[in-house]
Amino acid sequence: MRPIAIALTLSLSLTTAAPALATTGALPKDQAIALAFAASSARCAAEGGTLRLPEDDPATAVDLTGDGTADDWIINEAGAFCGPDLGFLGGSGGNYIHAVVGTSVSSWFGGGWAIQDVAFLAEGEVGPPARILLLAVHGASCNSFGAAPCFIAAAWDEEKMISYAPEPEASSDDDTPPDDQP
Amino acid sequence: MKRILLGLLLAPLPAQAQTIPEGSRVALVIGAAQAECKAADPDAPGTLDIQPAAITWTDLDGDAERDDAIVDFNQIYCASGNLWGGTGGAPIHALIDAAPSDATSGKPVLVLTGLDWQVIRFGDRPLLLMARHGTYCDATGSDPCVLAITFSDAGPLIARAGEN
Repeated sequence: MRPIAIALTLSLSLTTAAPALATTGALPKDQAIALAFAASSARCAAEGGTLRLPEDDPATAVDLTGDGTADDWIINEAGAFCGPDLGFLGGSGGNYIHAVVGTSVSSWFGGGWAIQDVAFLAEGEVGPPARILLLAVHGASCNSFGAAPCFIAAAWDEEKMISYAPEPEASSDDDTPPDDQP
Repeated sequence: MKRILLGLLLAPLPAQAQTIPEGSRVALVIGAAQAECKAADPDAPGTLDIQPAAITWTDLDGDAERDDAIVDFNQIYCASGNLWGGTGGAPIHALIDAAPSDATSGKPVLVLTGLDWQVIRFGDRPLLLMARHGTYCDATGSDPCVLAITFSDAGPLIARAGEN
């Protein structure tokens, strides 16, 4: 991944208008970190190591559900170390970035993230803002070279984070335009 | 990795009012739509109703030039009937280097059926966000399914779940 080693967050004025509601089953920070790091801890242990958490705080409190409360978490594994001598986690594509909503964990391998509210038109009406988690990921995820700018947009659908996942047969009009398009 | 709080970098990009320069790739798209509209009812005038938000000149490829264009058929109507829209929206064309001088440049074009779109910045890079039917995110139709699209010389770059 090109050095987009940036984690971005955005102050969202829209969150102040709605009444604050808590995410069902929202976890305190330490439990969210433990849940997010569980898989990497297990992988490190399987290799005979012990995972050491990053020196920088890996957790950022965010509102991923749009309920007005920053009780969800982005957990960034950057700087985590599988000791004593197995090395830092991650690679050219960055490292694991987890979104923890309640006890739901969604994970991506990426180099940076940001949150954006976007209001779209639908059937002529402007809908409520959708809260989008943007992740900068390795270009291979876009079927390109590693440094190619490639991003995932993910949104909460009341149960999980969802992102673009077209069925192969549904993608005939996707991505590759017809040759006769101007 | 350092965490840098740079909220302002996500500001929406300003857009330019619609124009259809003769000889541009936008004009080609509109011309094809005009013909399609006419063909739908040869006895009718085949008039297109092009709303102000239908055509937007902006920067999609990050060259700091607003010479790329979005042509949104959610905002274009054929007097002969609804030719392009559905529950998943209508075709949205993203044309890179669409000015008349680049009409034969062969630069990338992306056509996706979608509900709406916005261009924002992630750092110094423009990102085209497109809202599509929820089924494209393996969810129900009304769920928020958004694509983040960038453009390289080789074409549009779109990540799919499961490939990360």
